[in-house]
Amino acid sequence: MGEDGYFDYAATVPPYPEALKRFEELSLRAFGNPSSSHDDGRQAREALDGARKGFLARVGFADGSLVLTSGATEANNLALRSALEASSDGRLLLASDAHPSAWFTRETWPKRTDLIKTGTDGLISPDWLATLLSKKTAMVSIVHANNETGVVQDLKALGAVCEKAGVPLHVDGVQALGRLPLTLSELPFAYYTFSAHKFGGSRGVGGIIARREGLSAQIRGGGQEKGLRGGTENVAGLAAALVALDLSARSLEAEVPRLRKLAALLTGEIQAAIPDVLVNSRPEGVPGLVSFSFPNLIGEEIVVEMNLRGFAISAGSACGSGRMEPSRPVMAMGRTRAQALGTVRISMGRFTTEDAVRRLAAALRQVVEKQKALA
Amino acid sequence: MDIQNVGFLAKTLTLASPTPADLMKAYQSLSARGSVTITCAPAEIGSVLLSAENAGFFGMRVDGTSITAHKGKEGPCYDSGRSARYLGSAAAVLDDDNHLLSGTLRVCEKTGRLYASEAYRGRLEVTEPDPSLLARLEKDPAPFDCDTFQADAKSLAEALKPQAAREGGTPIFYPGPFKLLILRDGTMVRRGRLELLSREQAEELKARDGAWINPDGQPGPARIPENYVDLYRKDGAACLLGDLSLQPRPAGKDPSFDALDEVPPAMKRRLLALLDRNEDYFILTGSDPAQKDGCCPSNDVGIANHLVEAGILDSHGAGSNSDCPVTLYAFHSEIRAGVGKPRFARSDAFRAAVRRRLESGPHLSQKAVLRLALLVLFAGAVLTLGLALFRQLLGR
Repeated sequence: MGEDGYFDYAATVPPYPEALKRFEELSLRAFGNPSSSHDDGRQAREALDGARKGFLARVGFADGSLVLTSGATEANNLALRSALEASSDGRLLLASDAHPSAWFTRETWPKRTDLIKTGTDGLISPDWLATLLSKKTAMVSIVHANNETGVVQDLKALGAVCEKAGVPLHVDGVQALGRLPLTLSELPFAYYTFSAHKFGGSRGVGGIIARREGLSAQIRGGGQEKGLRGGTENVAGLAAALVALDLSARSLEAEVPRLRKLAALLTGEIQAAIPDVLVNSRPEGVPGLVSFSFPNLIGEEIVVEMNLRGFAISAGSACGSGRMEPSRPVMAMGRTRAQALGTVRISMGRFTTEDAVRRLAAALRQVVEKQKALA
Repeated sequence: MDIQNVGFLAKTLTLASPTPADLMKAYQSLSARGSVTITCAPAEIGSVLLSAENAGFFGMRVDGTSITAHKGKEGPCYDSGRSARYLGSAAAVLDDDNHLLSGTLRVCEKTGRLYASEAYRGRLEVTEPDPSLLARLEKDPAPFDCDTFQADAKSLAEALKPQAAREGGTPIFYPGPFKLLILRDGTMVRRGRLELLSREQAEELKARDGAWINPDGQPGPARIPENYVDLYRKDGAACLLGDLSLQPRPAGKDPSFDALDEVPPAMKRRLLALLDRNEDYFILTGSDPAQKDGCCPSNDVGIANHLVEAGILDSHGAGSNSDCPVTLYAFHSEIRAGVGKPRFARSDAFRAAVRRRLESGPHLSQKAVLRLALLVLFAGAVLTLGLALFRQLLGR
C-alpha cells in the first residue's frame, strides 16, 4: 500500500527508525535480566531505570510512577480489575465510548458497572458525571481521546469532579499520548494508560502512569514492577518508546496544525461531495483523525473497496450476537444503527501529504457513490 | 530479504528465489515508487515473474538471472495531457497495468510518469505534461479514463491480419519490460518464456525490443506461441490475462441463466446497476444462511452464492478486520485472483446475456418446457384412457 495510502495511524503508527535502532542497540548491549545480581543484570536494570525516569520526565510527570506492561489492553485490565477486585461491592463508572479493553468489565461485572453516557458531541458533561458519583463508586474510567471518533474529553474538568469526590480516575490515554501536547502532572488522574506503538514505538510496550497506589497484580509469579506485574521487563522496548515519544512530542508543534488542516480539507471535500455524510469527529479532537458515517452503507465494505484502490482506512463495526454490530462510540453519540454501521475512520500522521488526502477524498467519493448505487 | 534503505518503507529491496508470499511482503515493505531486484535460477524466472505480477509490481525486466520489478501503479488517474508511443517492432504491447499500447496512446499522469521512468527506458517515448493540466493536479485534477482495455483489445483484434503459420524455428526470449508483445500477424510473445518465431521476426525483436535469440541457460523447450486473433475470437479481451491464475467454474458446467429469474428485485436492481455503471464487482458482508456455523447470516449473501453456483457470478473472499466475512462478487470468470489484490477482466458478451435475461424477465427453461410437454402428454393419455373407459361403461 505504501506510506501514500496509509490512513490508519490510529490503529498503529509506523515505527520511528530511530526507536527501532535504539531497541536493537540496547537489546544487544544491555541484554541481561534486570532481576539478575551480576554486572550484566545491573547494566540492564540501570538502563530500565534510566528509560523509566526519562519517560516520566518526557510526559511531564517526573514525580509519578510507571508500571510497565505489554500494552494498553493489559494496562487497562490491571487498573480496572484492581479497582473492582479490591472490594465486593465497589462500583465502576465506565464511559460509554470505552475501548473493548475496558468494556470487558460490563460482561465480567455487569451488576457493578454503570455507564457514563456521552453527549451527541461525544463529550462527557462534568456536571452529569458529578450526579453519577456515589459512596460506592470505586473508580471512574474514561477515554481521554476516543479511538474511533477522536473526541477529546475535558480531562481537567472531569478529573476535578472525581478529585472532589475522592474517587480515583482511570484514563485510557492511548490515542492522546504522543498526539496531543500534554503535561501529565497538570491533569488530575489516578492512572493513565498508554501504548507505545500508537506513537511510533514498538509493539508489546505499554503501561500505567500512576499518581497513587492501589493497583494489585494481575500477572503473578515474579516480583517485577514492585510486585505489580510479573515477567521480565522489556527494557529495550521502553527505551525505544522513549525515543519515539520524544520524536513525536518534538514534532507536535508543527504536526498538530498541519494534521488539523488536512483533516479540515478532507472533511470539507467529503461534505461537499456527499451531502448526507455525518461527521463524528470534532475539529479540536485528535489531530488528523476523521470519522465519517455514511447512512445505509456498511463501513467494512467501504474499507475493502478503499483497500482495492490503495488506501488503508478502518471501520468500527464488529461481528457480535449473529449480526454486524455498529461502532459503540458512534452509537453513544446518538446515531442510529443504520448510520453507525456505515462508519469509517480515517487517521493521518507524519507521512500523510495534502496530495494523498485529495486522492483519498476522490477515491472515497467514488466508493460511496458506487455503494449507494449498488445497495 | 536484504533491505537497502530503511525508513518507514524501503526504496529498494533485494530478494533471492522468493516465494509468492515473499514478493507480497516485499511489495508491502516498499515505498510508493520503490523497486526490487530478484535473483533466481533460470528455471524459476517464469514463476517469479508471475508472482511479481500478482503482487502488483510493474515493468519487470529480466537481465541474466536477475529480475528488476517496480512499484507505483496504484492510485487514481488524472489527466496531464501526456501521450506515450511504443518504439519497438510489435503491433502492440501490454504493460503490467493492462494498458494495451498500439502506436500512440493517451495516458494519465500516473502512467505517464511510470512510462518515463527507468523501467521503460528505450522502449517508449513519452510526451511532457501539459503545463495547464499539470497545474490543476494539486487542487482541481481532471479525471482521466484509463479503463480502455476492452475497447483497445477489440480494436487490435480487428486491425491485425493473421497470416498462415510461418515456419518457427528460432528460439527467442523476451526479457521485458512489457508483459506481452503482439506481433503484426497476431503472434503473442510473452515475457520470460522461450518461444519459437520465424528468423525474420526473431531478428526484428532482437534489434528493436531487446529480445535474446537462442539464449543460453533459459529453460526449454521453446514453445510455439499463441495467436491473439484466434484467442480473442474465443475468449475476448480476457485472453490477454491468461497467465494469471483463475478461479474457474467446475469443468463442464454452463451458466444457468434461469437462476436470474428467481432472484429478488433488490438483487436484480443491484446486478443491473453493476451493468449500467460498468463496475467490476459488488461487495457483501455476512455469511450464507445455509452455513450452519456462519456468523451474521445475510440473505443477500445466500442469493449471491446461489448465483455463483449457477455460474452467473464468481466470488472472492475480501477479508476484513471484523469477524464477519466480506465477499466480493463479479460476473462469471471476470475475477483474476492471484496472490495479491484481485483484478478484473470484463466479458462484454456475458454481461450482455445477463442484461438481456434480467430485462426480458423469466424465460421457460429447456427443462421446464420438457416437463410441460410430458405433462401435456400424460394428461392427454389419461383423458383418452378415461374416455375409452367411459364409452365401454356406456356400451354395457
